[in-house]
Amino acid sequence: MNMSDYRKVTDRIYPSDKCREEVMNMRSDNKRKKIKHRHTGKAVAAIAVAVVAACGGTVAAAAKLGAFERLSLKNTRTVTNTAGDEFPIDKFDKNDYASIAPAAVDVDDTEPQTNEDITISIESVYCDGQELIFALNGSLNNGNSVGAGYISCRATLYVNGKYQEPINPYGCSFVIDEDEENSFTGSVTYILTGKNKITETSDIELNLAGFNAREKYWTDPLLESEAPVSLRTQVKPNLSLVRDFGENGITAEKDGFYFTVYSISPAMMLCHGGYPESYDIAMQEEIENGTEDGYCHAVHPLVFVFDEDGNYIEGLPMNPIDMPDGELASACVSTDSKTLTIKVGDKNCQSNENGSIEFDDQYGHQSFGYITEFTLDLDE
Amino acid sequence: MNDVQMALIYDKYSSAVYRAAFAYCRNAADAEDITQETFIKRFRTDIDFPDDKAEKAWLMKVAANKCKDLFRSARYRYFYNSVPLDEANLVYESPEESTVYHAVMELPPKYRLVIHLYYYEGYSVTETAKIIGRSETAVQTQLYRARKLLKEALGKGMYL
Repeated sequence: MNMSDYRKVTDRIYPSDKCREEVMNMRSDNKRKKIKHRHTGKAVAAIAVAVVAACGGTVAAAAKLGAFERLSLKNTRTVTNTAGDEFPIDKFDKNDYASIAPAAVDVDDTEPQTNEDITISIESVYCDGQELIFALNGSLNNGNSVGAGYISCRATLYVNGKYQEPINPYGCSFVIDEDEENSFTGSVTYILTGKNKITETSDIELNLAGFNAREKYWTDPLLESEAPVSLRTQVKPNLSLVRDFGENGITAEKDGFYFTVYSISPAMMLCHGGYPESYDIAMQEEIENGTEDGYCHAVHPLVFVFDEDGNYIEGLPMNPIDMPDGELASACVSTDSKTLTIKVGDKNCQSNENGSIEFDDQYGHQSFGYITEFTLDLDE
Repeated sequence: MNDVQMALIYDKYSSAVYRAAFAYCRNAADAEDITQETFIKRFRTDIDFPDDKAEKAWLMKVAANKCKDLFRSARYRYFYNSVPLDEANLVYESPEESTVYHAVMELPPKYRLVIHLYYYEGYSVTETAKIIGRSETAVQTQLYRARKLLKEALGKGMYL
């Protein structure tokens, strides 16, 4: 991987024909027209706390299953494109909801909230003090006359009035419930480390805005709604859910390669892996020497984690997580494994003289040149 | 400037301006607004550029300033930390493309812009500094920090 990958993606980005048309239409005006910001179909209102009165906007869980059960089913559902190729119904959310569901708590004391286009409520919350995951109900106030199957939006969280950094780069996403016409289930995840951990019952304010309703996650928006929906509730953390290995975590290392696990909960494993600085220096020198393909030349170590049965433990799409020890952690699917096998592979080749590391993940079958491996005993 | 000249200027530079705006804003709507405002300013400004390179650099500078203005607005002050990447406009032909692109898009906005100008547009540190209105030292520092963050995201840690 190198910056040519960024260039290739960027080369495929173009402004729309409508953008050109609007520029050409405005160019000869004597008065400057205010350019309508296309996000804003409605004025961005102050945070709304009105009780819902929308037509057709029922937000009670349409299915008999709980919200986290529906989210668990979501990860088994697929959609197809016009060519018949199958894709996950929501490719941006990889949480293991089957593990999370038993530890979630239903929210009974919060009214649904609405802007002019969408009505949302919090149905259930998972909170272990460190990971905070909301399961949401949603419906379109137009009865879903647009035929949407997927809704995305931005999410902003305050805990006891303090802003929390988003952790999922994709924000919040909803998918239409199976066999339903206007009932959506959504989720958004936050990870709160260090001083941001929730240790007692806390006031939560979750603001969702910038809604895009689409048929599928890759299709054009059918409905765009900017105005925020503000949801408030209280959460009580279940701290016993987290197996906490302390501020510095538990680490195994070999020849300068290392892997640290900070915590394991039903929601995820927070961990961090690394390699000797000599590899950094080699790659950095190639970049600074003007070699654009630096990453293609230097050995590029990456850490892969397997459980005691040899199963690959997949990563979750999260922003790097600031840990109290100063490192940036990643999030993986949780595990009950007593030991972990950490394999270090060279991302620049599929195999080398030492062999290969092979596994299947969301992208398909993977193979990398073998560098080394070691184990981490989680029962130490 | 007549209609034909304006159309030529737009068709020559719109992709570059839009891509830089998208790198900063991460969504098509804002990137197109910034593109429109940039070219409206160009069409209403009576400047004779010595060459195409100078004209393009001027447009990129205007676009960069418009991006900063947008992010100072009340809407972005409230929401910008959680503006998701507009995936609808992106096409990946390999997992590596997706991984690298997302890693760049997760950088802070000012780092994204210098990375885009330096690596995608091929501007030098000096040229990049002039476009974004910062010193060469500041650009070098931003590039260094951006590379460090990219290394941490792509090279040091879990494969996601």
